[in-house]
Amino acid sequence: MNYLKLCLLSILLIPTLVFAHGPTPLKFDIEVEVNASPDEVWAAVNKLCAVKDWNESITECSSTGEGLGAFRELTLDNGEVLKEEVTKVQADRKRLLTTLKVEEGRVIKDMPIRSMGTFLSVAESSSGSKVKIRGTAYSSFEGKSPPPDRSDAFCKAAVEALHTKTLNGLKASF
Amino acid sequence: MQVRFKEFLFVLTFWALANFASAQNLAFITNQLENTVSVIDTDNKSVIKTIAVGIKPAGVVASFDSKHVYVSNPGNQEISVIDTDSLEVVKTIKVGQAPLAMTLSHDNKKLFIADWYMDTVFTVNTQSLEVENEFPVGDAPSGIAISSDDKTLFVANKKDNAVLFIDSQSGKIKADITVGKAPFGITIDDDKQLLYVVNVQSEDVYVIDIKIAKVINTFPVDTFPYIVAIDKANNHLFVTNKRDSSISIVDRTTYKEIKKIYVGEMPEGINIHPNGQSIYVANWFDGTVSVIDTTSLEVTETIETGEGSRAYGQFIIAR
Repeated sequence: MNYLKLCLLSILLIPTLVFAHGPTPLKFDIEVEVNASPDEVWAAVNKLCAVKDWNESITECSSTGEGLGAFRELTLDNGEVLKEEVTKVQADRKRLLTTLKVEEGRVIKDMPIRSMGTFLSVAESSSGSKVKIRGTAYSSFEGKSPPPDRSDAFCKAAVEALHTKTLNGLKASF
Repeated sequence: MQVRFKEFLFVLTFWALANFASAQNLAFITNQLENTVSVIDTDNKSVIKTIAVGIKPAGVVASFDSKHVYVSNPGNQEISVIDTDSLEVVKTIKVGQAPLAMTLSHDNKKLFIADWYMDTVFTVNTQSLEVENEFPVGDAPSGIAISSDDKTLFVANKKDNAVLFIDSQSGKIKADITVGKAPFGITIDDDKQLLYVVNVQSEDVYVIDIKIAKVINTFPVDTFPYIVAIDKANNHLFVTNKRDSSISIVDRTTYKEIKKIYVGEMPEGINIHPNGQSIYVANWFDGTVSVIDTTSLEVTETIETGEGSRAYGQFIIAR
């Protein structure tokens, strides 16, 4: 039954196999020092569309509000739209979790991920604050041998590039 | 005479130490992002060896006789067999497309492997290392456990939001139970004949009574939970909350939360130590293992392991 399903799918050469995301996430971990107090930075990062002012790759942003359960839509300079939800706010630990889910079958140009969980955290440091963007993402490619432009390494580089721009812009804004 | 007595004492001490050392307990932590397994000596809480395995190692299961540890490598579709005396990979088994969760029969003769992409459970004979059987299961099998009498496999299927009871010989489906959203880890409580199924997206645990094949209780946990470990002596359940970087500690009778403690970032695999005194949890993001005291319910140690520590399964051996 399952063999048959797989054979049929491969015969039909359907480009995007419909599966759950793969068993292995990729990891990203970026940080920056910001010359402002943790409280100031925390207030800034809780404005969901402030990211548009920091990241030149984000051309438009709209949000349904702020805080837990709010969604934001980021339009990237290649025309792709990312819809993220705020899925956790830990004010006591100054950690904010946003979650991106991509519709089955959709492949985001230049950043072909299926889902992403992003923690933005703010901690006190000698220069003011240390801000980290850390998390996991899954490639949208399901199967044993992804092409180079769908690989984990490709997705990781794209995700890191996006988040690095955000953090550098955040730093420059203070 | 005096000298001889000292010599005797020295030999005696050495003998005692040597025996103590051979009675060590070991934890085998799969490091998914560096293709290794860290072996922790749990007596002195240090990594004594790092073993190269396959690609993206994730699942782990120790044999009941503690002689072997099986590691699933979804990245190159292979199971690594580690000899726990030599701490070397002695055999590999090619299987499926993405072998992940595993369980063993209590006589150590059959290894059951759930394949994430093929929606199949493979049965491997641990003597011949041949695939003996393969059963279709649900969509994206994420967790697997086996009954105390080895007759039934319990398989959580993440995309079906369901747990299947499967005859371990014939593959016949005996029950199909709807659970929460995106079930992952499934843990059997032998004494109570219960299953604890952790649902990643609905952020709760479903308790299934094995005898009647029904959900008898549910309780909430925190963000992106993965799997349960059982502390029978203190009547506690420990649940890893991956995206809260915490452990929910829950009463095993009332299912009320007793305490939540923070561990390393993105905890996943969790086991109770055979001596009952501590809980070991692998922190995927940090590449560490947190040790929790089962009495104080505090983190007492953090051990550096490797990138992407996952340890999904039964990873501590007692010998």
